[in-house]
Amino acid sequence: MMDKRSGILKILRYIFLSFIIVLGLISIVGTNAPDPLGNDGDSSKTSGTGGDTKWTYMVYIAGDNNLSDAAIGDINEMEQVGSNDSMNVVVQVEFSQQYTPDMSRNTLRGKILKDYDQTTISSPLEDMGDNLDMGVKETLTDFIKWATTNYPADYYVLVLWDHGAGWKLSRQTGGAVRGALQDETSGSFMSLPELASAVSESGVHLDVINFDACLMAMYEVAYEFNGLTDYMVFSEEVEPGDGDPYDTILQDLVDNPNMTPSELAIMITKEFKEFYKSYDRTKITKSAVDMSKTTQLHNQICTLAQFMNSNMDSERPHIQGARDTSINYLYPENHDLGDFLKYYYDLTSDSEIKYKITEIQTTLSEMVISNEIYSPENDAITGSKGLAVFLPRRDEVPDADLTRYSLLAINQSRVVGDNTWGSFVNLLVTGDTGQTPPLTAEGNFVIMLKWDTDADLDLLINEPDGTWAAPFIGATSPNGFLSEDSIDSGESTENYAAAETVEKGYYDVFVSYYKDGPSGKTPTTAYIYILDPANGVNEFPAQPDYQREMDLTNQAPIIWDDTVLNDIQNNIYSDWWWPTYLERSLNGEVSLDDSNININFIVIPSKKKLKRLPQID
Amino acid sequence: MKFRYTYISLLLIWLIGAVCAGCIVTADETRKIEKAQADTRQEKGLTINEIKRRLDHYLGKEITINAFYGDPRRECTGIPFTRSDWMIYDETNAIYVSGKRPPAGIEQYSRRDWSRPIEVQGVVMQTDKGVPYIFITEVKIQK
Repeated sequence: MMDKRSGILKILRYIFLSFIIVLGLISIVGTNAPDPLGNDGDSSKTSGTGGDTKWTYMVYIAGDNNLSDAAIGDINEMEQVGSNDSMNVVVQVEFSQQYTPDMSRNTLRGKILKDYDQTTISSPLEDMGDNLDMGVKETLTDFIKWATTNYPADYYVLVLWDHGAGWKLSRQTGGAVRGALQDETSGSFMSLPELASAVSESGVHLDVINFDACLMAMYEVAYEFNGLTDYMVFSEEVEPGDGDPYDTILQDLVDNPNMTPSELAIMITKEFKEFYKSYDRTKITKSAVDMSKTTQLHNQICTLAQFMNSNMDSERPHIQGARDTSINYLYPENHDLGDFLKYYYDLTSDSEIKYKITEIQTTLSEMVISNEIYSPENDAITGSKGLAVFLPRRDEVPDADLTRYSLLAINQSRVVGDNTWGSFVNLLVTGDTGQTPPLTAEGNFVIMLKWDTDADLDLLINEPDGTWAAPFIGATSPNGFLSEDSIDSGESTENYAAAETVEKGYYDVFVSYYKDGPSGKTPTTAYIYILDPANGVNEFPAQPDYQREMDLTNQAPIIWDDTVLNDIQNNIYSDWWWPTYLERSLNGEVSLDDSNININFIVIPSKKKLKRLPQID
Repeated sequence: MKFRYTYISLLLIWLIGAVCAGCIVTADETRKIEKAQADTRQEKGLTINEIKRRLDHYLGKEITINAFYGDPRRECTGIPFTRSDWMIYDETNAIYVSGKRPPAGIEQYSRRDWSRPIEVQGVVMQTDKGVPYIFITEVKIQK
């Protein structure tokens, strides 16, 4: 009996142990098995295609700038609602180490979870291990792919969060054109074409793109995203620093997850208005458009441009009148398209143009599905129709901006010959009379000085207003940027890089041989290289543009009278060299010409302590 | 005689009192004038730190300030009035400016233009969250 019982117990023990082992194996395999969807181990994510998940609300927060505090505030708003079975709220965010030093330096991303703390971000955002460049399209593309892969849903919303500047393309850095989402640490600013390209390259068709940024509700912006999303939400005017009210928007979505993308787009505009109306301090605009009408709008605008271009002589006064009367925004060259067309219709007597205007107005009314405006002062902005367009006065647009404008999709996609809105703008502003052209021109040139000894040489640029720019004076000047002084860098080279937009006038280049180097080796051969894309010189030449031997054997006087100036022009002195000048002319033309040897400048003494500057008598 | 001395004494006391009262009045007026002059001097050579330190005094007032474009010391903390606000700084502090874009020749959002000298004329304001800023009426680059 005893043996029988002990045997049964032994069997039961073996069964129990086997059960435990099997359970353990199941749990280990379940954790480490690769997920066919490429999930990254986030236990909170959903899997499968949609399932019960209706929405994935993706927010790309480029907060590495002075909006960093606003980024914290908005994420806290999101956390008041969080995610649930029907909605995933996911973010990728970067904060500014300078403005918000308590926040992580690295880029973070992850799913937003609900909490009851309105001041601290508690969602388990993954540290991506580095401070990524949020201002390049590859980072945005990667975010979209990650979000839609790990959080699949029936509908996708992409929020682009940051500063905005409409179509504006900002400074060229390293040859690339920048514009809209800013990353201070990385020194980048994603352009409109790059934004659209980022979305396109993700391969994801979005249901709604929402710009939580300023000045983006423009025909140019909408067309750039043509075919990439069904609806777009944006603002013609600047947005308040707080941006979108994420708590009320997401709560609406939680309460009604079965709303359609168009209903969501409309809801965002209404919640935006209600939030700021309650403050009664700030004027706002927020509109939503049906992107399926974009091509139709573009075609009609091009056709109108053709008529305006063909009849510019007779139509110019009417166009100018309508432009100068219509609503505009912080960027005064941004005009409400509908308002401009309304005034233009009243002013022109051309029946065909009137007909074309009517066609566009009809399309606009169908395209703009929501247009919310609030103004505590009930000012002119209340007449906005939901979509702005670039329509500058001559003195509002540097020539370089007209060039950049031509790169946008609206001006590349031809419908009626070469007639685009950009061609019309060019014709309008370049023919405008009575308006002073802007006193700026395209810069972007770089002057590099190199020499072959350890002597102390200095590169000096005399700018149009007479300001001296040199590395030993400072890193910036009114028109450019300087490298380190060679005495600090230890390198026998100094550079001057002109800003993208500079004052018109002459930029005289000087080289000063200040003192011999420790080696005592003389003479020094100095070399000047010039890069000037505006003149077709897109890289530094292999051979120097100018070169000359320099030393201290025949030093120029401190005071430069006409005689001394003339001698310097003729390279009489061994320690001062004037190799060339660059001219940015009144007509926007640029020239690189050293055949005219007259030095044209007025020297204004610098207030800073200097090594040596010439004083002109 | 006794009455005359009393009378003279009273007269002298009255005269002394009148002079003293006049001095007090004069002194008070002088202080007001000096304060007004000091206020004027402050507003002419106004610094950003002065605006922030005495925000209650400057709120709603139009001021003119010479400063530089940018915020290299990152002193403009807090959420700006709009997402298109930019910053100016001087040797004492930095502040947001709103209502107009930077003047021609300065590229907004580009740190490469930081330290360009500019003159800003505008009204001192404050956001709902207490962040001070200047609402621009005029702005230009300083030569």
